[in-house]
Amino acid sequence: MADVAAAELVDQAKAGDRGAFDALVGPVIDPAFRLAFGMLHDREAAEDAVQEAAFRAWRSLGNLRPGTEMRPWFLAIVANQCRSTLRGRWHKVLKLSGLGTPSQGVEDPVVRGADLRRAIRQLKHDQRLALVLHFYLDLSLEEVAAITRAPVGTVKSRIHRAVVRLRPQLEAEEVFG
Amino acid sequence: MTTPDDEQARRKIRGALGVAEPEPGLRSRVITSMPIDLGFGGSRRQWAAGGVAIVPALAVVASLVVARHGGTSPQSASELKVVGTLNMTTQVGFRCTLPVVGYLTQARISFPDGGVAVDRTLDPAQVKPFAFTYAGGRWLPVPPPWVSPDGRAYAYTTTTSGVPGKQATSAVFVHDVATGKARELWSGDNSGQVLGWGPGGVYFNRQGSSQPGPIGSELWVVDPANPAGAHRVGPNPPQSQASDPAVQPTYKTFVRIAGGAAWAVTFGKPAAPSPTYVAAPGTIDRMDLRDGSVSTWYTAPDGVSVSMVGADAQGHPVLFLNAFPKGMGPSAASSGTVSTPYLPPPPEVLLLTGPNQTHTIASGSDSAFRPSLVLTDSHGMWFSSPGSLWLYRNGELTKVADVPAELFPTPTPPPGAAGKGNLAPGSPAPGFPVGVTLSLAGACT
Repeated sequence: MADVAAAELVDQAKAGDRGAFDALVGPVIDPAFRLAFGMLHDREAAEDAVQEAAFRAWRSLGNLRPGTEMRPWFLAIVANQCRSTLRGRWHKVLKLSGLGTPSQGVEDPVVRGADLRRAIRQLKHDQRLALVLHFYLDLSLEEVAAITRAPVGTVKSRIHRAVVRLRPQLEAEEVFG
Repeated sequence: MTTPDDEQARRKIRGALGVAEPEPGLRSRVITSMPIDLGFGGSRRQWAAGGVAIVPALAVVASLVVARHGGTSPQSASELKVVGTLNMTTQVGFRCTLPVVGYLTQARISFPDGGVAVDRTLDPAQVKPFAFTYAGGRWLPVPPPWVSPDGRAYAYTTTTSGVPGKQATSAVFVHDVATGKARELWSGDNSGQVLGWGPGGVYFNRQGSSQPGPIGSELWVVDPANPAGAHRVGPNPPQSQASDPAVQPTYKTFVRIAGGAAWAVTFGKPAAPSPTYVAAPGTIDRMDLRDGSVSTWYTAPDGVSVSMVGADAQGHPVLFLNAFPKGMGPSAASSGTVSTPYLPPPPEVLLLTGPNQTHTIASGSDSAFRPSLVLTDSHGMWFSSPGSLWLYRNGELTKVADVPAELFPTPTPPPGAAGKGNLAPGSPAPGFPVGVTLSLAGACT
């Protein structure tokens, strides 16, 4: 039940009950952060994106139908927020200043992954999102389809095209790896 | 079905992106940051007023604002009303609420939307503290540096300096926010002024009189847990001699505690009023709070006055450099006592990162950026300029929003007080940006 919007909880959250909102969205915060980090490659930007997405979710509670799966609903909002962030002015500054800088220390695999990260950044948003959801968050194709609101076949195709575009970097990883 | 190729791609992509475990407190922070208590409500209809329309504020403020008196108690949800929005010029990309004061209006601005929720309007008939801080859900009648790091107390000084027939004395108090009770920590001769909190407790300036030579203030510290141990810090006041024979001994005073140091500014004192007076170079000195060692970090060029208005998250001073024309001291330039209309250039804003090492935040070329206040938080450095808010973040200064004047109404001076008080803004020089300069009352959280 924790992942599903129950009518009573939605009503309570709409009335300003913070606990009810926490019960609805709280369990999805951690995967939301991983999604945002996978998309933005920056811890602070990811936290900001999750916070903003939570706010948008709160504002959109009126549109939420009881029984809606919370996880895909909220992750879709996070994905949209990441898209906005990537288009935003601050992120461009951030990206320039942190280009190629691993966020989690300088372990060799991470340092070597700089080219691959850069290549992932250059993917189209839809491909990048499908790739991150499937390979980084380990979600099934059906779950990715629910979040991206696209048919499973389209999701498969996006992931395939993304992998093809990343192939040079993936193969280079193989040489070093 | 997962293929070996998929598995290999998954492994490499995860390796390249690294581990991303959220901080344990993220969920709590996200949930508690929802502006549920700000009365924005969950309905889209109510929010629309904040997102699009600028409500004619005078009427709305009059009808919606709940005026409170003597209030340091936390605000309840029902008392806050959104009266309009700033005109956002940049999408900030984060969520927080910034407490501000504009004239007599205490308000909180929510970002990224710029919604302005008014806490209360102060009574112009009552004495208004010169600064406020919003901390722990309360408005406190002191500037942010006087509030303890945990927000549970604030320090202040009282003095008899300037009282006719009284010898100058001063006392340092600490006020417990929860109980509302103040406790005297220290008292002594001469005037004093709280600077802020640091590793040793409450640091305060005390007008020095014990030493001959250059005048200046002494830095003292008192630990609220051990008030009896109050003592002077370091071999101060730092000694300095005027290099310009036209200038009398300099006056050095501490202005801020930041980054484990006390920061002092030197002012030149003219030998006598003179139309050719040129101020002595202003300097910024750093006194290490651990060993009391003093070093000069910055000396302003001729014709420029320097002031320290804040510090970044690492404690590096933020400096405003104001140029003034030859033949006019900085005080004359700012007070408008010259006969011809004078439009001062915008200040140059520097970050002082080391001795003689500066980083330019603003070059002074943007006539719209005339900041007078700065506040640092986790998002960057906020600057308040007439009619606008700015943010320095990731090495870039950007105007975040224009502040519609109607959201912070200019108070009407009481009868008979016209032209005497400073409640309403004076007439700026032609070309000077107009609008309210918001006081920044705390971190954007």
